[in-house]
Amino acid sequence: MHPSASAQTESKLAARHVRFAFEPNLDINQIRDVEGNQVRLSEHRAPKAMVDRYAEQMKAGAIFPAIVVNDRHEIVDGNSRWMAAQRNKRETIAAYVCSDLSALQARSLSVELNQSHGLSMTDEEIRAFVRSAVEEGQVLDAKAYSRMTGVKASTLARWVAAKHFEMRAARDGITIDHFKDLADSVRAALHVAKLRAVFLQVTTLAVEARVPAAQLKAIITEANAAPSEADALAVVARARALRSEDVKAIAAGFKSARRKSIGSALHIGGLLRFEVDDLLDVSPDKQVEMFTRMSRLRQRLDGALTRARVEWNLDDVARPRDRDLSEPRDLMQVR
Amino acid sequence: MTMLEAEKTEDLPRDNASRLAIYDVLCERTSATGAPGVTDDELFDRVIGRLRVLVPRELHLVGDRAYVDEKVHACVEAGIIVASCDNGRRLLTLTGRPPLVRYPDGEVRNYPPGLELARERLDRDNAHLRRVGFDVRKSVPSIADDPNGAQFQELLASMREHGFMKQFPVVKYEDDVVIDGRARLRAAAILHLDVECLKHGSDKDRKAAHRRDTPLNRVLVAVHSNAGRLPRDVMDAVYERVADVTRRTWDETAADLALTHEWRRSIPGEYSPRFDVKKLAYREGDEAKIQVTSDGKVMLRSLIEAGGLSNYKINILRDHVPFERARSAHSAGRKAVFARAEDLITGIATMQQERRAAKLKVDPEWEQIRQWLVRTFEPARG
Repeated sequence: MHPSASAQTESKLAARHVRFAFEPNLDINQIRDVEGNQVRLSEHRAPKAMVDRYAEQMKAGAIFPAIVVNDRHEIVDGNSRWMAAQRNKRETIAAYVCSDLSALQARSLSVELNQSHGLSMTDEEIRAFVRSAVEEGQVLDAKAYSRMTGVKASTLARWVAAKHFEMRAARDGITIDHFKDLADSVRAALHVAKLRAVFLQVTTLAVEARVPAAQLKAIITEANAAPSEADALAVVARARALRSEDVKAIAAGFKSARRKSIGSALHIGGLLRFEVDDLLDVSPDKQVEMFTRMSRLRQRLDGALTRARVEWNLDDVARPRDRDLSEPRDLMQVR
Repeated sequence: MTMLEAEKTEDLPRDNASRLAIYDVLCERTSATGAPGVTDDELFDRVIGRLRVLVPRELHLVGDRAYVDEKVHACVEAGIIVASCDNGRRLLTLTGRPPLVRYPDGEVRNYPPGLELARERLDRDNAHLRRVGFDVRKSVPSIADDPNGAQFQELLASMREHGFMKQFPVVKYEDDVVIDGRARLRAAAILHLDVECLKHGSDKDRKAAHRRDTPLNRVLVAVHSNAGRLPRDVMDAVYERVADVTRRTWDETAADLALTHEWRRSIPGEYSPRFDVKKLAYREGDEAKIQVTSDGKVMLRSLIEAGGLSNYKINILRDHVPFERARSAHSAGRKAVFARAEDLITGIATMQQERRAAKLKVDPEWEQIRQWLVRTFEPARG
């Protein structure tokens, strides 16, 4: 194998079914730097310090892996190596010459190769690439791109879904100013809404009530499962009614007041994971203290339940003792 | 320099990809709406998505709007589009002069509208087909599927009479798949006949065949080579199966195949580096014949022949020394094989050891060649 040949690069090219030829002596003067050959943003591309270091290493006889160019000899990967070779007045450089690379293939190849050597791309650069690829109608395999870029597959999937949401919003006449404050996770959750009317309503709700992604997912799941559009819209309307105070506060320019139950809900949810036997599994020296605390907790909960039934008009809701205590409940039900 | 050569070496502008994107948008809008032109805002809205893929860095540096305005101006300067005034609005229209694009064979030609997008769509189709392991043979019946059928029996009788007709070789792909010729293969196996597979006459032919080998190309080969015997509904079923995988209609795929036909048929030229060499003598008093570059690469044939070995013995070194192919002022025909002197010194030593260990013959000339390399290049390196 030629010392400049790179099994890693070759395997990446082969995995993408890119046809390539290894050329150990590509004329440096034939290599072209065209617009868009790199996905790196300004400050990260061929940093001077790295080019200086490569140039010194080359002078000292170090052999670098081949750069990658397309069949028009436009550079795809290896900007620093190319610049270092130019600085050393080299006439040739080893290169993989890829044929039939489309612009998109070149871009994604550049992303992948950039991650495997030199300065890795920042998340923002990868995100910009992912968003533009989605905009172009590409279907990204989150797992494969995660492998290439080191960004978690779930994060990539969220970026993709958020971009899909933006495109859908634009198609449905929602301007970007309307949803510019929504987080990616919220955008990704909104994209799951099936019906257009639901999508519009739930997006408005998300903006006006600043509903967290987890709650939106529950609302949208329920709306998607509704038997008719009217029922689905009713789900959203109900969710909106429940958050009417938040909507008013946010519209008036205030943050919605942070409810104290946000803290207790997690603890109640945590307690519900324990069976009776689990709660009784207490070391002998702490049993008295535990008993006292559980009694106080019970008194407080009894008080809260009695008032909640009256103040929240929950007469129709079955009493907790009617239920099987071991029944698993999620946070939403507790709240 | 002839006109054709001038065209082939013409340098396209650095921003050609962006110009093509703008041209595609204008062509698409003009043909879809029949409108005389588009406004700057409309063009911006339609092209910015594509530019975000093509030139993310440039957009980041210059700004979306400023970049598009700059490229529109470049297209106007190049005579691709013309700006006119319509009721106080600026309208951009095509002049009829297309932008240029370099084909894989290196030739610069007029850009057919939509070519780049069609290529990307076909890439996507091929990726989908590869992902599901699409095998067109499952959709195209062979007469060998029914060994007792009249057609296969006729083929057997013919091959029994004439043998395997070598003028009709079977095309076997690199993965040993045969798309056209399955029945002849089966018949040859039954009759114990030698099969003639297509041999590529040159590296160029082999590379061209390799380049054309895509899942969609295999579909075309399967359908076209059996067009005479396949009923229309079978062919339609093949296209439908492809469409199921690619998630678009076969008509759309076929339109893209037609649009990219010239591109796909264009064969990339072979790259030939040219080395400046000087000639050295093998022994004092000999004619200087060994071609050597200034950075210590040696043309192997000249060295081996000067050392008294036949040139085919270069192949013995193939596994031990990285070869580089290039032309020099003294080479004609095929590219010559060069290797770095230091790789040759170590590679020849390794080859000698391995052959001795395997009790294979080692020509004594190899040691003399190695010594010559050491004498000629080691002091220079020291």
